[in-house]
Amino acid sequence: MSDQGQAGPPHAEPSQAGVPHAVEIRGVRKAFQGAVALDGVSIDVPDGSFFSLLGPSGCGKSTLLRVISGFESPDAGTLHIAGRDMTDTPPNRRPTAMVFQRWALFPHMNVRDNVAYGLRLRKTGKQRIRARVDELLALVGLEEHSAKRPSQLSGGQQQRVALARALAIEPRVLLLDEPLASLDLKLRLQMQLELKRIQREVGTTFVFVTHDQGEAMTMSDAIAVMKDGRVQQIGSPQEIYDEPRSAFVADFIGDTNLLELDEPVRDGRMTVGGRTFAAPDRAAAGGEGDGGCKALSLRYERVRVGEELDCANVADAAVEEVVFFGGSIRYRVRLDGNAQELVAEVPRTGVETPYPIGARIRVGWDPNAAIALAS
Amino acid sequence: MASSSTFRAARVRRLILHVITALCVFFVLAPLVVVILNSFSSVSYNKFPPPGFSLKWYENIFQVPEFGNSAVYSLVLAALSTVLATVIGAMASYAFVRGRLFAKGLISGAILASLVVPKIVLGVGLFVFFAKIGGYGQLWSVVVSHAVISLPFVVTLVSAAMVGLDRSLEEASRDLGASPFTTFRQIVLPQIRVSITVGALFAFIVSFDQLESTIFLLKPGTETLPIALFNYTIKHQDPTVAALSSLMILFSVALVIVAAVLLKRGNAMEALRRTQESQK
Ligand SMILES: Nc1ncnc2c1ncn2[C@@H]1O[C@H](COP(=O)(O)OP(=O)(O)O)[C@@H](O)[C@H]1O
Ligand SMILES: [Mg+2]
Repeated sequence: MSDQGQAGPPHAEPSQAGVPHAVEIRGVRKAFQGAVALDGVSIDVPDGSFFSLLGPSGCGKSTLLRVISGFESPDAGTLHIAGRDMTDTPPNRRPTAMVFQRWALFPHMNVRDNVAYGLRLRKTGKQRIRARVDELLALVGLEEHSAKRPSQLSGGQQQRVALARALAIEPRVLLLDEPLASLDLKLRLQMQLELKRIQREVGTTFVFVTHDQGEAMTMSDAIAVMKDGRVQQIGSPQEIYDEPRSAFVADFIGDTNLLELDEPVRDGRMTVGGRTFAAPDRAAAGGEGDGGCKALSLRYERVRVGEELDCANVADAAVEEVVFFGGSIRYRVRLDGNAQELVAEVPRTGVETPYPIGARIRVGWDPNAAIALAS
Repeated sequence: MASSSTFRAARVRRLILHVITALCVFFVLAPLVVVILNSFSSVSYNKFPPPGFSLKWYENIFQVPEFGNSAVYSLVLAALSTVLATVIGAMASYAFVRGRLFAKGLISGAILASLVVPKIVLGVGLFVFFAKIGGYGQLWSVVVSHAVISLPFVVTLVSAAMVGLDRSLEEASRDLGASPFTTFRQIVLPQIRVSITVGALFAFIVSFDQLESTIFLLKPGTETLPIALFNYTIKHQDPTVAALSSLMILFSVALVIVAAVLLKRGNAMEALRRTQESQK
């Protein structure tokens, strides 16, 4: 097999300084009865990083995780873990450990025996196991519950047991499949911080699957955004937020306005819905690596609203909808003389009176606040 | 008026149901009751109800040496075939529920087939088979035959229990470094222990009561308890047979009660676990 198809990211450079990537996935394909779940996925996960696989439900995240852990074998492509080819290695011989979506704790064992399970298989001495389990239970804050059965624990506590059990075997890579999805919001936010702390403390590479972009943004060192079995973009949270390469990524990560261009950018000018605006410098240069962009992404919070705006792109508009968000207000406005809609998110100062529906206002944005999209 | 007639129809239906149920229970239990009452009869000819009470037929059991020998043989046979049927049945269930097996339906059909094939037919078939391969009259061939007959009971019970297991538990075990065999022993087995025990009890009873198929498989001179009973009835018509049968009924009922209690407790534990989990 050659490596990836056109959707593959240009991330295939060899690892730097001789440290192998924790995981190297090359051109992995997987179909279930003809339905393609992974369509040529290539990803490098740097050693020691908190790496997220982000995408809508059904895009192949779990399948990719199961390929890494060895529960699914790819139809094509290769997988290296810590520099060694593991494409055909059975799950019990891989240096990975998984935190399952519903945790999969052994119901007939207490917390201590659950955590010790992997160590016992390794014929570790009794004293060592005891010490190590104590250490892990302390790490996840469950010292007092070691004698309980999983069924006697809350969701958050079971989650911690699953984490401790997986970390016990000191995996090179910890795989987490939406481990927080079944927790309620408050607990989820708390566990996000907790997971991040634990990852820093143990220094293990985490590959974290989520469909929640906020979760991915707050926790990750790097994110791979997936759609329909393909990787759309890989980068740091900031890169992915600030420089999305496709409309899908722009829209999936945070809220954004899509500006479709009537015709290619010429002389630094662009037309949207019949009106001309200054184009971002990148788009003027011909887009990023492909022939001219057809659409732009403009984040809600980069759209400005007011009577006196000093930005280069300004237009008159009418307010069509007002939504309060506590700390901010969102206006949906329609530009005069064309059908283009924009949403602006404006921080609240607490003294202003919000514009009512129907109010005539001016909106504007800095040309470089808009991001040229490749597709 | 319409409603009162529907009420009456419902009542009639329920009455019919009760009558049919009562008849079923009666026809199942009546022969057993006759046998048990007769075993305490004071006379040696067949008279029902018995004219008087005595325990002499129970004493007589111990005067017939064939009964003692065949009882030992039957117990050994039942124990061995139970072990065989349980081990193979549990593994087969695992393969049916979890495995990617070629012709799964065909194989499970074949295993369950001995339930529907008349035991006499099965016995003749097994006789021909073992005669051909030189196993006729050997203990092991009878053990294998009984295991084949008990297998459906074990497979049905154990695979039903296995279907309900959470597959990700087994994956978690593999993921933490356990081989498939260790995973079966450490994770699967503890969760289906009750069903396996109950399956084994059934296998034991089925083997212990087996007459029709066994008749063809043993050389004259070796007997299982049911065959010894059968042979005794041909020669004598006294209630010794009823006494021995009563003891066997008692033994089987005791095993079934143990099985029922185990199953019930298993269910209760399972239900308890489920409710605890759903309360979170
Ligand atoms: N074992 C399987 N058999 C058949 N189809 C599967 C199987 N596992 C996953 N799929 C399919 O593959 C696609 C990707 O699934 P999955 O990896 O679970 O997505 P995600 O975790 O991103 O929600 C889905 O369309 C799903 O229906
Ligand atoms: Mg999933």
